[in-house]
Amino acid sequence: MRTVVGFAVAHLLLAAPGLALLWATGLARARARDLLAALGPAYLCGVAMVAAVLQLLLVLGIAVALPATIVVTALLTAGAWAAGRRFGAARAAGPPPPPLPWRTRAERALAWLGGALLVAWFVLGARSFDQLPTQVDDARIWSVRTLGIFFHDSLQTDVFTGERYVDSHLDYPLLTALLNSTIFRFMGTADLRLVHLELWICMAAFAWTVAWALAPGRRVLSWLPVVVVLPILSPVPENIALGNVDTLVAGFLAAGALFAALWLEDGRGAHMLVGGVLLAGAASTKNEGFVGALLVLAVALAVALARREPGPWRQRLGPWLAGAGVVLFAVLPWRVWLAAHDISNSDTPGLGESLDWGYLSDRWDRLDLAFQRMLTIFGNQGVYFWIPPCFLALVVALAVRPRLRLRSLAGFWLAAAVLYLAALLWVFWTSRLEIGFHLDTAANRTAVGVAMLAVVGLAQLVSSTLRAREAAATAGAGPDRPPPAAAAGDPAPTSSAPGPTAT
Amino acid sequence: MWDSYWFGFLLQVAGIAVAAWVVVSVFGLGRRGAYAVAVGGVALALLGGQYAIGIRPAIDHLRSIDDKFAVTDQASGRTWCVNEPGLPDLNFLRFIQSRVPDRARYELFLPEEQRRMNVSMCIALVLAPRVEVSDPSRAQWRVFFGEIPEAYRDQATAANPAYQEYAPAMGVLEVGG
Repeated sequence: MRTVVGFAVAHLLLAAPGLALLWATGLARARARDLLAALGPAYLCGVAMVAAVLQLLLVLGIAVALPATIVVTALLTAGAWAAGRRFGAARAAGPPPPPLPWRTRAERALAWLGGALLVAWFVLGARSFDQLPTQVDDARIWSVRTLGIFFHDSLQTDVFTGERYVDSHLDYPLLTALLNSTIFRFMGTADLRLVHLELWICMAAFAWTVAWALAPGRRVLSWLPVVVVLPILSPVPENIALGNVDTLVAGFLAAGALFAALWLEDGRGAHMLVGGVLLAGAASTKNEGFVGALLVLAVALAVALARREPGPWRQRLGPWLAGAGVVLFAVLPWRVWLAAHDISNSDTPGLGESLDWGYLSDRWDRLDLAFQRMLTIFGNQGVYFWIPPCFLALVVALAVRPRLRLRSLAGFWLAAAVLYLAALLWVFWTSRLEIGFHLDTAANRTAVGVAMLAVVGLAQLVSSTLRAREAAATAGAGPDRPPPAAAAGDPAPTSSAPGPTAT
Repeated sequence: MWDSYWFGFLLQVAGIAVAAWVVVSVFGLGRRGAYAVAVGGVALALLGGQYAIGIRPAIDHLRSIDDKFAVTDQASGRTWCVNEPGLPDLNFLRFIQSRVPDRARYELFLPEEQRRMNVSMCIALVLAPRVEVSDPSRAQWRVFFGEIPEAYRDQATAANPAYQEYAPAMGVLEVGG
């Protein structure tokens, strides 16, 4: 009985700081219906927030047993709530607009059907993922570290710095181990089979987050078909069945990128702050997530600066600084701890060695093989459901036909996806592992991150394209005439909140 | 670089772009942003089509995961890694668990070939909260997993009450620590 109740209580408790954050930033109202609708994104945000603080405590040598976890969660919730009360400006802007009303009964029926399919898929998956064994990388990395924290409540010297545990990747950050060990503490037992179910729950929360973020002011059918595809992509259940955390990294990264893109689109600073929290989750899960989070932040900054809008820089870039600050807070303690213990990734050389031209030129064949493998993966539409080519085609269409003023948004998604792909290729190019082995064991897993960026980017770009077109038609703009609201900037701001598009 | 991988993928992108152009041309949609909207429409149509094709195999795939592992209980779930090729037999791990107390520190001796296959991480997972140490002076137990180094051969004998043997070259030696 305790295991079931503990499992449920742990999830509700972890969602609490996230709910407080979404309320404090004005993205969710303090009404039961709105808070219930925000549970998915709240859970992801709560996990990222609690893990960042617990990781800091561990680095400082403070034990993270059950009482400490409860206190941290309560303090984060109260802190976010108090900040919302103290700095009510974000909430004063009001919540995002509701979804647009249904135009026809068929539209409503299709939307309900899509939603029902999504729910049914996650229920079916939950039944499959609650009894899986611990194997492969999960048995050598993630669960070893989870049990290390579960049993010792601390960064036990041998498990987290010992030479004998090098194969468990001592350099990997701790979000996964902290999340699972926290849930196990509430359950009173370390049932490693549930690691897979937890990854599936996070994937459901990720799909929920994308839907929740895109719903305001858009036609449901303009984004739902893309979101429905998201958990069906076969690498997702395959990764989760093996207990790999690549889908968790991909989910945090793509959700964080979506909120950053929403900030670029509507100028609402709250979006960038929440995006920073989600990117912090990606950075605290795996090294790829750390690199991905930095890339998304850099691209968001570049797009915001490139617009050359008037207004004080603090107002224009304040939300970005807040989001970047959250990421920094989440990753810095762990990076300092790694440096203090002289721990680094033994599979890839440091930049001092890998940036040597001789080193790189001797390995051209590795880059060529890695690139071919990635193209093979993304060219297999039986697996990726035409997402990568559709994404690229739409980005190009928005770039060459800029009249919808979505060019910078398209550029943001293209740069994020391409740079993340380039970062993966760099790892394959420079790593010390035998290239065939490295590609066979890692290419399919890590490609999920690029694919998720493409999926979520496609969902936002399609829905924004259709919304902009509809808005122009409603405003009475004739053929090839710019809509009144979009005369000065790219894109037209849809919110009065301060941000990169505000004057 | 224009090999089949590049070419195939670019053909897919170009195909979508051309399809959108055809849609705009046929329906005469000359208004603002029509081309981008058409690409979005083609994307949604492709997704819908592929979804219809792919949903059945996806469900079968999920069910196959369920069928393959449905009988896994909590204990065997955690020890499943011993089934992977080259990994040790579970009975010896249970033997160690029954002798070496929880949270004890052990030094593990493995043949190099098994060490290279990350066998020790599977053993660490099964034996947790017991902890493997790299510093011999901190070890409370020595675990011989198919190899007894020369330095310990005189201690790893049946005559020594601190040594408990499971099989030749497999046993545990209590050393205090």
